[in-house]
Amino acid sequence: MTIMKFIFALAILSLPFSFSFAKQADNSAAVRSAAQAAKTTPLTDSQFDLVHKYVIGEEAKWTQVNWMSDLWEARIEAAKKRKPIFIWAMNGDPLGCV
Amino acid sequence: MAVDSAVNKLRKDRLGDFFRTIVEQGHYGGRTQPTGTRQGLYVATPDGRLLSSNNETAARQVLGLLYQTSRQWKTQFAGVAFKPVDSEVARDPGTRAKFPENGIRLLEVNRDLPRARQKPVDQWRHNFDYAWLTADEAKSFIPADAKVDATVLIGQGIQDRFVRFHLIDQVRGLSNPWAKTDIESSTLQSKIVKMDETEIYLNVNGTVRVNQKPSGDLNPFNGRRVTKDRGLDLKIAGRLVFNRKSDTFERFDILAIGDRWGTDVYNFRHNDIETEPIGFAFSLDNSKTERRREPLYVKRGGYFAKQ
Repeated sequence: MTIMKFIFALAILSLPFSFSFAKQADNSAAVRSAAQAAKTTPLTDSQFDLVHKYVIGEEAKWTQVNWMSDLWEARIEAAKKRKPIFIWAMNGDPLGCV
Repeated sequence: MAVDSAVNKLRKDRLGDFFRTIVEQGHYGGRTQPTGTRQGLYVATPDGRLLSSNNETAARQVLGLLYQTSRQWKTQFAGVAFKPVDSEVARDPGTRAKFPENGIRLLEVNRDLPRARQKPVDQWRHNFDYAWLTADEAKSFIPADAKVDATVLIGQGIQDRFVRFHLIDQVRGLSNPWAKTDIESSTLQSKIVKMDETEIYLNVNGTVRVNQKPSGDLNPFNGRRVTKDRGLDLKIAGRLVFNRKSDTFERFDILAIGDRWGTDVYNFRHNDIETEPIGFAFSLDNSKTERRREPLYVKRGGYFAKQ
């Protein structure tokens, strides 16, 4: 994948985020109410689904990008395809946490 | 590609050499204070020449780095044939935990919940991790006497794993796991609410209260010390569906919601330490990518402890 294609793919993948923000904003009052109710009574199925979906969010869609996680395999492929390597390096695996 | 900077920096193999070659040319190259981290974004040639790097997560800066590097690549390296890379290299073995055979892997997300007053919540701020259960541990959520209304108490080892290593506020950055002595109380049980020949439907309920005295640790980036307690007071709920024919869970959704307070040394909540709502959600990880999905603290002692 060329860098331009990669940028385009990122842009496409980010589109659902803006819609998800709008959806989350719309249901924040209901989420707050359900979370408050949970302090004293068990969540109903619909409250559970509402809050669970809110917390999971839509951002996980970015994980559908087929990130490579082995630097050496990435190096082999980059050399073979004559492409640069884009590395996202974080303390704690970026695909797993923090 | 995406890698753990701290792990790769210390690898004693050619992957580690290659990683260090790249990052030492970058924005944190040679730095030891306030930390020796090499976190960031890097674009490099297959032979290890750095083209560009930064440690930004804002979309504008990330795109800027990619655009800049794209232009650089076209002018300097388009069509360049790089030396083939050895396909087999000896690998430092000590960097991965072993996923339990036939176990289940849960995606975990933690996020601030909407607040009743004051400043709005940054809804995009969240963090995630993965939780592992062995096959036996997952099945321990099903009462042995499989009939509607049957209940089972979940083992202390599983409770402690969720509390100590997963119910941690990571929304604004890294927090350490809880010590066992930080757990003031925890309960967790599962109940069959419906079943037929094929499926068993279970509801999970529980509570957790955990509190840690201030560590006094100093964050070298912002000069703030941890001077207040941090803790959680949560209710746990779950909806599970077990398929008896395939012997697998079709649904394993867990939710822990309630209050959090305080912060930890590398969690940048220093201006947001009052009691406010937070949520933790777990769900089966069905993503298709073959990326590494270890729990952050799987290698801390006691992750798979029985109790």
